[in-house]
Amino acid sequence: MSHCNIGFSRVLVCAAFALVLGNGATQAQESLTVLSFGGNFQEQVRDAWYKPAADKIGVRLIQDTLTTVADLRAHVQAGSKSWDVVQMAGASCEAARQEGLLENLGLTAEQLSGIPPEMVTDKYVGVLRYGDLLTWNTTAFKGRAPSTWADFWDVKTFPGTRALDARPTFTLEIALLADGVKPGELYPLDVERAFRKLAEIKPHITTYYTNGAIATQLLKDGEIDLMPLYENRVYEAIREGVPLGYSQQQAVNDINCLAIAKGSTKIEQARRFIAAIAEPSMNARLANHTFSSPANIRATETGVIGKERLTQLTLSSEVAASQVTMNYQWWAPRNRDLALRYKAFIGQ
Amino acid sequence: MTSLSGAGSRPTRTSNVEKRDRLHSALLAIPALLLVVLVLMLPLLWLVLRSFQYEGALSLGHYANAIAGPNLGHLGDTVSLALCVTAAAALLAYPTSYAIWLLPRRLAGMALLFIMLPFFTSALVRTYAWLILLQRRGLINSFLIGNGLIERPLQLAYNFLGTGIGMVHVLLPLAILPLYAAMRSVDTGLVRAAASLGASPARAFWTIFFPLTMPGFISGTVIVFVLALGFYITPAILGGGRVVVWATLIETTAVYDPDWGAASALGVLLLAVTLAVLSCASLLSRRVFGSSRHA
Repeated sequence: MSHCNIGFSRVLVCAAFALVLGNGATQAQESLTVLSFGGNFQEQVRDAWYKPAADKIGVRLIQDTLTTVADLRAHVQAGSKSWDVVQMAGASCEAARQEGLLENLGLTAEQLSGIPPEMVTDKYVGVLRYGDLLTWNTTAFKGRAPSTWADFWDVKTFPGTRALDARPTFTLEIALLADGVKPGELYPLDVERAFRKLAEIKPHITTYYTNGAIATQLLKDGEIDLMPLYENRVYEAIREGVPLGYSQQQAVNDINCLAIAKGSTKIEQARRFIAAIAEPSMNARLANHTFSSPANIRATETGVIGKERLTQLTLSSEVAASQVTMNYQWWAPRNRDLALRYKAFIGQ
Repeated sequence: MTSLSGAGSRPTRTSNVEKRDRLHSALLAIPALLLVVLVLMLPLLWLVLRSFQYEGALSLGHYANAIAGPNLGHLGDTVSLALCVTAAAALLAYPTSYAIWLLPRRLAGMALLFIMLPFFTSALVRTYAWLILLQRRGLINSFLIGNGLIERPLQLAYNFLGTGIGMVHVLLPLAILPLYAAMRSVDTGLVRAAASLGASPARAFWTIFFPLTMPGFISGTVIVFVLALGFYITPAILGGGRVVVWATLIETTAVYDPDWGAASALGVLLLAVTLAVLSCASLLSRRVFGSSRHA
């Protein structure tokens, strides 16, 4: 027993030394804690942006993950200060801004040049965009392929199993586009009309997916023939050999933003980090690592993006005029009520 | 009944030694109790307090919202799903436990192992396994179509039925284990005595064996019911969004509502329903079984 104890205390002493030495070594370079959605996606974003941006401004990158604004809310309300930069989807960014969960961004117009003005606020900046595309299993539709959201509603011409997002964001937009609302006249959303249109297709919906991974699996298994799906998932599944077709017409685009978590002790470094990622040539790198599009409109001029990828980007497609950008400012204050209403609607 | 269970109770001999032992074992529980208070009771208390704060004031506003609109319907769905699952689990658990009880000891151990193995597997994994079995091109539909028994695939997943099947499978061991323990503690001499007094096997089973196993049966079904009420993973996955239960409602509210109080009120309501069920069950079993003790 006693021998064992001595061994253990030695280990402890060594560990303490290691800690002290380790701290000494890292103090030379400060760390920055950055959060994204985890999984494959975060690895790709790390390679495209986080690592080079951290190297550029001379900080050591620490990564963590979050899922929605609820995680940030819990973190901030607990008085924790360990998070610095967060990456979230549009409606979460806006909700976090309105709930006071973010520090001031404090970046100049010059630092953010090329980012579309509607993606810039005092608290966050949009750095990527991704579309929700009509996606189908090509083995299910031999011959004529669907192309618009009206086709998703057309169960006679395109019989097959269908799935929808379990959240109302994207879904209400899709319903209204299917009902003939013009992209430019979409907002403010006619919620009642959207639910009426959804009620038409509801009997034909097999399941409602809660995230992109589940949705992709449904297509892979042949369980679902037709669904709206995020473009990065679409391309990734195609690369894995899933026989998918997709339409960029009437795509509903959302953004991811970068913001500084309330309570961050490294606001200066966080600002420089975000500015580095917003800058066109760094922003462009994303297209080579993921299937999302950079937000900076000058990213396509930098020559960083490969030719083939450039043609794939949803926003550079010929049908860009038929697409819409999600108005997350409209969504943020209504998300809770509409999420619960939609949940009750699909549960009826 | 009373005299039967009295036969199994210990003789009343409370020496000083026994008192001291009891005190010592109570002391042993203190660290665990502290942990429970610290990590369970305090956050729970915080949760309850938050649920009564509405827009900065002490109010029942969150509770009014919690039972407003379609939420009462969701509560009804949750309870009826839990009832169906509990009934199915109870009906499956009794014959299964009885069959295991009849087996020779070694085989019974094996059989229990087969029941425990899935129990030790994550509910998430088991739920996905059921999805693979139940979906449109899943094993069950492929088998049925392959054999010409049906023409179109049956809708087994993404509905109430699929959710129920998955939940029964996940929760069944929790019904079987207390029941089997109760069966094991039955004095078989009593069943033989009944037979020697002329009772038919069926009569001996229903008047002697079955009532003696009821405490285990009830605790098993109550555990299943209570867990089914708060079940999240299986309804979320096998329900495909179309089965809205209380736990998924709490999740949606916690994600979208900036005020924790809203989700807290839903949680407190679920806790209240659960406690009500537990106390009803304990009252019922105490009334039916008098002084007999059960887990």
